[in-house]
Amino acid sequence: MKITALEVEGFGVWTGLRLDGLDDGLNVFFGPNEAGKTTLMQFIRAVLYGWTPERRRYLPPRHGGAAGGSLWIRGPQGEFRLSRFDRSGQGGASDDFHVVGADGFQHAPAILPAILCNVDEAIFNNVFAVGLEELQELATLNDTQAAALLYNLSVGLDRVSLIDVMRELRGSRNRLIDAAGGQCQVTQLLAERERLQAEIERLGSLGSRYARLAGERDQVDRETAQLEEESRQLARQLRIVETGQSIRPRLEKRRALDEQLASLGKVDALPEADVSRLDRINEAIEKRQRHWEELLHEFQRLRRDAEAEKVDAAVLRQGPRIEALAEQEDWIRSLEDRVLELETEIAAAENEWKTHGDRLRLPEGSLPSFSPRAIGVLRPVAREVRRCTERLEELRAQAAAGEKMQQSLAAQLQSSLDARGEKQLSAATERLGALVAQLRRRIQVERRLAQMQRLREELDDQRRTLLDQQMLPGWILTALGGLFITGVLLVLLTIWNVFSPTSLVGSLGWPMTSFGVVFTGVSIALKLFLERANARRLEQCQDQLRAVRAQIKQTQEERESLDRQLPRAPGSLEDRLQAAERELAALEELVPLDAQRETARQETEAIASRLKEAETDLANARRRWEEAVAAAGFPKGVSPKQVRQLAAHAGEIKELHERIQRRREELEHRSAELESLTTRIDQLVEELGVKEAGRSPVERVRALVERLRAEEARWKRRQELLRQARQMRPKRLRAKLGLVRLKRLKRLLLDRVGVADEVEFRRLAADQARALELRARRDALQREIDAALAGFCSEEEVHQQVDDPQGPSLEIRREQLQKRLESCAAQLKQHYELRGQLAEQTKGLAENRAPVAKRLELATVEKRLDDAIRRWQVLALAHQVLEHVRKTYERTRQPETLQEASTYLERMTQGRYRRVWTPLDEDVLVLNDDEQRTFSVETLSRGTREQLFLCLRLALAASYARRGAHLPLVLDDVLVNFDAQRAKAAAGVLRDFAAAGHQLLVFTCHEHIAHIFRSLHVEVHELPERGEVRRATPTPRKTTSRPPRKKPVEEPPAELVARDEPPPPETSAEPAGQALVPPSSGEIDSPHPPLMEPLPPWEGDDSEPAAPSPTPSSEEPLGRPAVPGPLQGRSSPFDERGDLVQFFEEPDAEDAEAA
Amino acid sequence: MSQMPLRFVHASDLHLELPPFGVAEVPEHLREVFIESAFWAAERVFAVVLAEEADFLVLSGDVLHPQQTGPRGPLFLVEQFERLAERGIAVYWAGGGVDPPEAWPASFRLPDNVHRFPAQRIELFTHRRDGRPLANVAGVSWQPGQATAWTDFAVASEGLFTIAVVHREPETLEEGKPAGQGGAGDFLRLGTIDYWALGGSHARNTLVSDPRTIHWPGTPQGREPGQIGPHGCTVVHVDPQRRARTTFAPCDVLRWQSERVMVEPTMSRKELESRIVDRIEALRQSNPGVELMVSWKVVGEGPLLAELRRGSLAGSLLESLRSEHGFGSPAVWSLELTAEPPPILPASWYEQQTILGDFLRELRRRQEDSDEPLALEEYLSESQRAGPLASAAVLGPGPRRDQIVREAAMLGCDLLSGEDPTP
Repeated sequence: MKITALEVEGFGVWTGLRLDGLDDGLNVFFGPNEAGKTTLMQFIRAVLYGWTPERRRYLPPRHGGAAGGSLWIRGPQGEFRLSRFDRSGQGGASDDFHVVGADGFQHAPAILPAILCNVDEAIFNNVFAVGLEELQELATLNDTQAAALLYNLSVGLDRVSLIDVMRELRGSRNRLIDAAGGQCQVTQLLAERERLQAEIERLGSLGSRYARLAGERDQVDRETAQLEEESRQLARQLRIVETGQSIRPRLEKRRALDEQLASLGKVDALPEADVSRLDRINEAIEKRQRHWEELLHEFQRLRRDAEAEKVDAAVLRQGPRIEALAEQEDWIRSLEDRVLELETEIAAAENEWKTHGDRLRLPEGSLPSFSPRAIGVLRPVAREVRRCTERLEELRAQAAAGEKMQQSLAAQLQSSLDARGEKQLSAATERLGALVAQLRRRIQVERRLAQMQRLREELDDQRRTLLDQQMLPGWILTALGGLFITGVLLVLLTIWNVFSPTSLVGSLGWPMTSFGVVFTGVSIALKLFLERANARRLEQCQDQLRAVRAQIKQTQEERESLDRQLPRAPGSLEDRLQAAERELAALEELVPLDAQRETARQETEAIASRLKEAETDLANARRRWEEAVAAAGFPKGVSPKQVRQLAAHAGEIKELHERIQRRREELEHRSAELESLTTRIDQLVEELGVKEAGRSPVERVRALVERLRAEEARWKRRQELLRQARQMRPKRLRAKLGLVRLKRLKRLLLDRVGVADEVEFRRLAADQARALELRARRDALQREIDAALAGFCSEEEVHQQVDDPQGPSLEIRREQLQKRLESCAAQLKQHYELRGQLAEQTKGLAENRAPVAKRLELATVEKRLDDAIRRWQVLALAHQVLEHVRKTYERTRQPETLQEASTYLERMTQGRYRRVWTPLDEDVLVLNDDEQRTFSVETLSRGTREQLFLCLRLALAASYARRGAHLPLVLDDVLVNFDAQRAKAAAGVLRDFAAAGHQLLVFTCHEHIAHIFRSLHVEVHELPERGEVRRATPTPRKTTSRPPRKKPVEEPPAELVARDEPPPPETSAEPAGQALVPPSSGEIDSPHPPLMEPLPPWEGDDSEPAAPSPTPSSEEPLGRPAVPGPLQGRSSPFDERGDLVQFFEEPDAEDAEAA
Repeated sequence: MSQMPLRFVHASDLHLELPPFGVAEVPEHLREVFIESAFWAAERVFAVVLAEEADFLVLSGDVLHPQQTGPRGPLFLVEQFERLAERGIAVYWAGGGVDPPEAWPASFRLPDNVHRFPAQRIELFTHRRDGRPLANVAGVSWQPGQATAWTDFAVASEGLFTIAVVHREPETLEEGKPAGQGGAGDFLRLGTIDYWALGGSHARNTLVSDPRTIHWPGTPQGREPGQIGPHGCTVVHVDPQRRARTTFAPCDVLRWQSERVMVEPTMSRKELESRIVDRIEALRQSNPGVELMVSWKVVGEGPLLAELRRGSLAGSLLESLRSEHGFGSPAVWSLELTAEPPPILPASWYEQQTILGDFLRELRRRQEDSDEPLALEEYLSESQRAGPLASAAVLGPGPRRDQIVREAAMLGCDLLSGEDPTP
């Protein structure tokens, strides 16, 4: 839908205004303050969507005319004229609306939504027809369906709210584990687990407690056993004592008998025939004694002769060895000869060996014995030493070259740095980089400070204006006072009527009273309301001012901080910045040279490292050579050259070495044999003490043989005498044996009786008869005692008690034992009780199932804990992944509207802000700047915020257009808070937006904004002075076909025109060629196509020209009784109120435009 | 010398100190059984020894933790040992991780028929019947950080059946050298040890049975829902040819079962319940005399499965099963009833351009990047990250990580799909 023309017959300050031939693209209108720009926007809203209380403020027209007007539109459905009038003043309908097609057909009003593409009023007011106030309020947009175009991200294509899902996951997760520290399931389970673990740990001491109790129980058992034993012993002793008392007389009698028997001795062993037998034995002993003594004398004589023959037993024992040595006499002589021969040969070979060592310049005696194989082992080691030596020399040459290169580059770099007065390149670069950054930041701070200063000045102005407004203007006070006085007068009039029967008001008294009270109350309420509104605005302004001042102060502190950090230097900041940047660029040119130097240094270091490695390798190779030489048996320090020379004579040296070895071995062998024989001979001579043995081994052997022969002859004589003595021995022994046997028989006889000699034997026979009698009496007493003991105890035990001379008497002892027995019984009773208690306790512990039961409980808690943690992990993982998805959505799936708005915003802010987007989980807008920092809308400056909102409107309009809702955009001074650059950028955006097929009607009261549009080659049309009534002949348009009007518009009454027409504008004040309003003659003296044309006749237009309104002029004072009173035909006092509101708010609206 | 026939019982991992675990709630009427299950199962082991008139009992470790059972454990064990001593039955006991020889409290004296193996060396006992050598029993107790090599059991059998007792978890036999090259595997199969009486595995396992036997009898009582099926001890019969034949003797009083029930798309709740009840009856008949703990996993497809996963159907069904079958004697108690998520979600879900599609694709990316741990610390506070929950916030590679990812996928499907996500 495009607006091709509009005609305001009467609306606000406009009467008879007609704008025709509107462009399909951008239309810019310029008019001064109070020119009626906002009124025009409200007029368009009113025609399209009807009269609202807000719009009725513009009615009746200030300068007369019919209340309402028409719009000519063109859309997909065709061309229409939309007319809307308020004819209530003429007794007609308050909303007289007509839709007339281009063919004159009058359509039903129901077609209007289709023409408006079903765009409702709220969207039109907030998206398509916006003023500065609407632009500043984003919240109003949120109340419309357009918000869905901005915030439709929260619902996925699968109709599931991601945020709801995440919220649910978060809730479930927090119920398990609450990161905020609140009560949750896992925390409770952890506490429960700790409690159970502590309890189980405490139960772990049950074992030790049981062990302690068991130990105590065993101790008690042992003590009880001891007591029981003691008790048994005491009882037994008691009985023994009692028995002793009873048998004591018998014991004494038996003791007397025993003493008598003892005095008799042993008399029982004497047989009756032993006396004659003893006599026969004595006779035989005497005969045998004589024969034995004769044999003994002969034997002693032979032994003495044999002992006289002395024999050296040592010589005889060594006889075999002496014989063996005598047999080796020839062998000893041959060994002596061979030893002499070998010593001669070895001396000759060693002389030859020494000759070879001298020839190879080896130290004396160091020529080794070696094999060709040992030399072969040394060969690779020698090659390794040579290779390491060559590599070391090569690396030393490379190191010298690298060092030279590095010094050269360092010298070049240092000379460059010296030329700039610097010492180190990196430090200088860093310092200059920091300086450049600080200078840039300082310049930015300065700019920001200037912007804030301007803003503060604006706010100061605004605050002063609001301060002025704290005291209500005089005309308002006058109007309110008039209303108040009127109300009071009406009340007083009614009171007077009560007391005066001749009242003028008659029966209208009470209604008048009501009006009076209402007027009084309304005046008071209005006064209070206005005062409070002004106070609120002043307070808001002061808050903003304080905030700006705080920001200025903060910025100034930042500036001072930067100034302190910056070095003092002459010149402006920009000059200093340029100089620093130049210096930095010059230093950065030295960076490649420094890099080359660093590379050379690193290479030199690498070569040095390799050189060390080579030296180490050489040392290792040499060490391996030394080890190999030592392992091969060569002397230390032998060189490879010497080894090579040795290899040339290897065979000869080896053969010589082997020969010397063989001779030495044989010499050792022969010498050892000879030495062994000589040692044996010398040892024999020494042992046998042969004195005249001679010096040589052979002579000493012969002396030994002679000594051996002499000793052998002596030994034979001695053996003969001993043989004779041995032959006498059996006779002597037989005689001795017979004598001994007889003596033994006699002894046996005495021993059997038990006497020492024959005298005692004879006395014993007399005692035997007396003993038999005493023994019979004792046996009788013994039987009585045994019967008393009855096997209970032994007789010795009774004796111990009875015969104890040290202890007390038996009676006293008996009493003591009884007391001790009673004491034992008491102790036993205590022990039995204690044992019972301990058994009870150990049984309780033994049957205690608490450890396992608690572990079972712990296991269930741990299972629940594991389940909860596992569930939490699932929830957390799902939430984490969904968080990732949410960010992806926010990053890549923003609504198309916001993407388009981002494009406009980037262009309008010249790249400062790149992106506007909305988080998935809330209906707010967020911006990203060129450094990807994020800002909320509230933190933006007022101008930037308005730029954002303008971009959103453009994007929304484009979005509606793509959906088929092509509606014109009406923008009322929306660029007023933009700075010059952004205003120009915004104008360019609007121009291009219009070029894309969108119709824009842009109103402004600022010359600089109009100038910006002109600089962009956009036509700017000036609005006429308000209230100016123009009548002109219609200008046919090329793009529209409009039927001719059937009847001309009637001229307004002359008096009305004369009364309402403001003074004609000074043409000199208008920009040349920009005046859209032609002179009163209707001639257009403008290079631009005339937009203001006289109202053409319109077929079907049955509206009458506005009659002169009885409504008082808005410029007239309110207190003036311009309005007839209720008794004079005013239909409603609220009509008057509407005028009042219009008068109150119209200047405010214009002021807002100016702000 | 020919081998005299003999019979012995092999048991291990009695774990008297360890009640069942892995259950979130213990039904009150089965609480006694849960607490006493380890002791009752152990008592059945000794009853088997007496009933079989075995020559001796071999215990391969982890019999009890004396401190954790309290005095009741050692007393119980001494009482059982004395029962065997009255019948002249010896016990050969190698300590495990919880019952090293030095851990046995000094206040409890073991009867003389109990022979404990030391931890420092392998000790050889010759078991005799009527004074005649019957078998060699060599063993060693487990010691932390000192795993006894198989080949350390190179003892001379002298013609007797030889048993090695050691606490060692199941592992491969080929230590160092492959089979046939004189490695541990060859030693185990062909060495002088006729029967390896091993412990350390709660599951019954026979690694080799011919010509030598390498056997873990498992614990006599399953401890957690994962240890399904019967548990008990092993009766070993040795014939004159020195061949060992093992027989399983169930001893458990509480038996764990895991049952999978298939649902079809058209199946109703009643049909599912009926199918489960049929399965309960079959379980009751095949496992007489023991309390059964059953975990039900429902697999298949259809709206019933989705309702089980998301709604309260699983809870009501579980309650019904417990009330009808969980209080009998013996009881069949249903531990849980879960709808098993499908191992693979339909490919079309991953391809759709919806939030669900994005969610599944991102999750699949994390699942495929299995080396990267799943870090969830951002959902914990500083103090929680430093506490016992720290390990919960990082999921390293492993089966748990995979399971968590699968469950998160199903959760996302449930929450993000407007319709029933029944693959």
